[in-house]
Amino acid sequence: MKTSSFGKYERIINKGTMNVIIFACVIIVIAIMITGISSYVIVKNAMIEKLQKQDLVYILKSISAQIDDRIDRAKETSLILADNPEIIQWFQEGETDETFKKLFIEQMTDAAKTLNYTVFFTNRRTGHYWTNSNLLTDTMSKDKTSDRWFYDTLSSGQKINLNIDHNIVLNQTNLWINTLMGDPHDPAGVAGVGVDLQDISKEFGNYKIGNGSNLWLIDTTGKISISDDVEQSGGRLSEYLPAEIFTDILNDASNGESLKVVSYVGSDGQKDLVFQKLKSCNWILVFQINRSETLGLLNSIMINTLVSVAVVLIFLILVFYTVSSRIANPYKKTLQLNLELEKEIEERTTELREQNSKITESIYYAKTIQESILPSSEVLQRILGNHFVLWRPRDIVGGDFYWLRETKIGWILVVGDCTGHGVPGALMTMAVNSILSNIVSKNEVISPTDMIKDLNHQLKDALNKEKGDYATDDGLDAAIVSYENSGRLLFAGAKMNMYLASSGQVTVYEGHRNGIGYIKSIFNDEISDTIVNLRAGDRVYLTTDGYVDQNGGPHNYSFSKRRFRTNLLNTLDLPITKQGEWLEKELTSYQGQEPQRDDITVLGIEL
Amino acid sequence: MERLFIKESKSTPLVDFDSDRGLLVLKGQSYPEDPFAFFKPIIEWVKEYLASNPKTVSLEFTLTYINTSSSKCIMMLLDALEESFDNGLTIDLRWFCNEENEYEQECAQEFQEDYTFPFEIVLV
Repeated sequence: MKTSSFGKYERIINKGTMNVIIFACVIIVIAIMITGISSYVIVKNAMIEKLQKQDLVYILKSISAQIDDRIDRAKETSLILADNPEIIQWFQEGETDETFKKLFIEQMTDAAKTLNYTVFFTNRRTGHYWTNSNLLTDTMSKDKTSDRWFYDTLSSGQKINLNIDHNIVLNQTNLWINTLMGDPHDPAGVAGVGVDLQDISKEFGNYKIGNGSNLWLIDTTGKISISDDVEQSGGRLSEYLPAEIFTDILNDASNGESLKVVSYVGSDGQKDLVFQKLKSCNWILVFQINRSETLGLLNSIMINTLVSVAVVLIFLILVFYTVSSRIANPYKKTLQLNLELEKEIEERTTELREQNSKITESIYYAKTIQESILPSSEVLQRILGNHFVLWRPRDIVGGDFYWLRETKIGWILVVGDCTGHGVPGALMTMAVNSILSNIVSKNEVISPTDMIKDLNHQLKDALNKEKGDYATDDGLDAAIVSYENSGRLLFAGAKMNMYLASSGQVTVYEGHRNGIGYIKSIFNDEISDTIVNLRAGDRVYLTTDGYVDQNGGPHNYSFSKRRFRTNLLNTLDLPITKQGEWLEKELTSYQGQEPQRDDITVLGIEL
Repeated sequence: MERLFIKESKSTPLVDFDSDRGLLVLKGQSYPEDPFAFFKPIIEWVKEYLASNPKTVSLEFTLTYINTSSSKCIMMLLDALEESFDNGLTIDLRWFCNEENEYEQECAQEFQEDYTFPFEIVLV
């Protein structure tokens, strides 16, 4: 019972609250997911924006500024060297002045040493090729392919020409600033410096972010002049980029020097590309990077976001669950309260049941005691002869009793109804019983009237102490019959009658109107014994008011004395024991479903 | 005096004692566990009322069942009235009985025998 009612509430709680909790949790999850995703997207876009507008631009600008700076300085140096009038003159004179030759060599080597350049001079007239390292290195010849650059430069009419020279074997890249000496239309020769671009190439490596990025310096045809990867140097950029991007770079770069950012999807993912034409020459600097590389940071951001989302989710759901299920859910609270109350009631009921069972047990024990003072059916049979007894206390024990004593000349029978029923009534019967025993043992032959007077006196003395307080005004109704073996019967009653059946008639002998033992109960001379001489087969019946007071029947009226008397009359033909059974059955059927009102005692004797 | 009114319960009768009209009404059954406790304030009220020297007192009883102890209490109540009657108070008691309920009539008759003031059993 307890478990099943508990389970019932559990189910209600689960059905009702779980739906709400799940619904709310789903909303929380969605809300936090949206927050997480949107912040991730915002951060991602911000990073891409920053990459394209700031980082890539910054990288490209600083590299191009560096290269521009170097080339500009090299150009300046070349111009200074190439436009030295003394050297021009010395060249035009066919390098005849030996004194100046020394000075020239000194100047050349000094310049090379200071600027860390390779410095060279080539005389148009003699074809002599001077360098700071080997001094007179070579003599130019129109027939040699390797010397073509010299004649091309001379005929270009352009003051400065740039040329890149790769040496794959030495892993060297040199930028040559070829400058026409003197008047470009009639140059004395070609002079200039060679800049080792190896360190720029290294610099390129420093700017690389991860393996997915590339830094190229290309010329106007798309040939790669410098790359951080030496193997790519001398190759074509079109090998590494989609054709349309490559075309765009060449077109855009030829139109201006502005910096451009392009995004495209390559074979291995999204790529960002930025390029700019150098200021110092027509070369184009191209920087390309994989988006995944730049956004590598995003992965850790994403993981962090996911972790924090999960933590916040768990925390929120826990808090929400606790709040909703324990504090804020009045529905569940009510049910819990109800459960607690039910439990408490259950406990109290158990307690009461235990107490009740203790009390009941104790009363049942009292019943055995009360029954033990009542004469047994054997004793009744032996002394009274044929008889019946109907003794039915309302509550286990009761205030009704019957008392029998054998005398020298016959017997004395008392039927009493003490005030109250249940335990108080039973206590009274015990007191009355002992008083009766006391009265009769002192004087065995005693008239019923004297017994009533004596009992009245002793009971008042014992119980009420002449206090005059209603609350303790207790006493009893009684009928006393003294039978003498000669066939004479003496009767006296206190609010109780005797029914005598004789010769097919039932006569009612009324008792005195006072009860016994009450404060106002006084028995003076007006009470006297009723004396009847019996004939064989006469029957005497004594009954307490319980039988006639019992309600029931079609109108729920009390049974009444008249009906009782009529019933006796109608069943005189039955043997006395059968008559008793019949009376009991009649009572039971009259009572029906009504509870018993009072203690019931009926005694019948056939004499 | 304040009117005494006690609602009827399963085991106690309706009590409506109206001192202004001099009418005391008892109606119902009476078999409480402790009748003395129930009747004590009622009897005290009646005694106090009688002490105030009312001119006439009418009683209307309709008691379908009274147990022994309750009848003892009602007797006390009527004893007090009998005493005032002896001292010159005008009293009349009408005890209503169902004409088919012999027990009620028997009960009323037993009371009737005990008192000398006007005591009428009215069969309804």
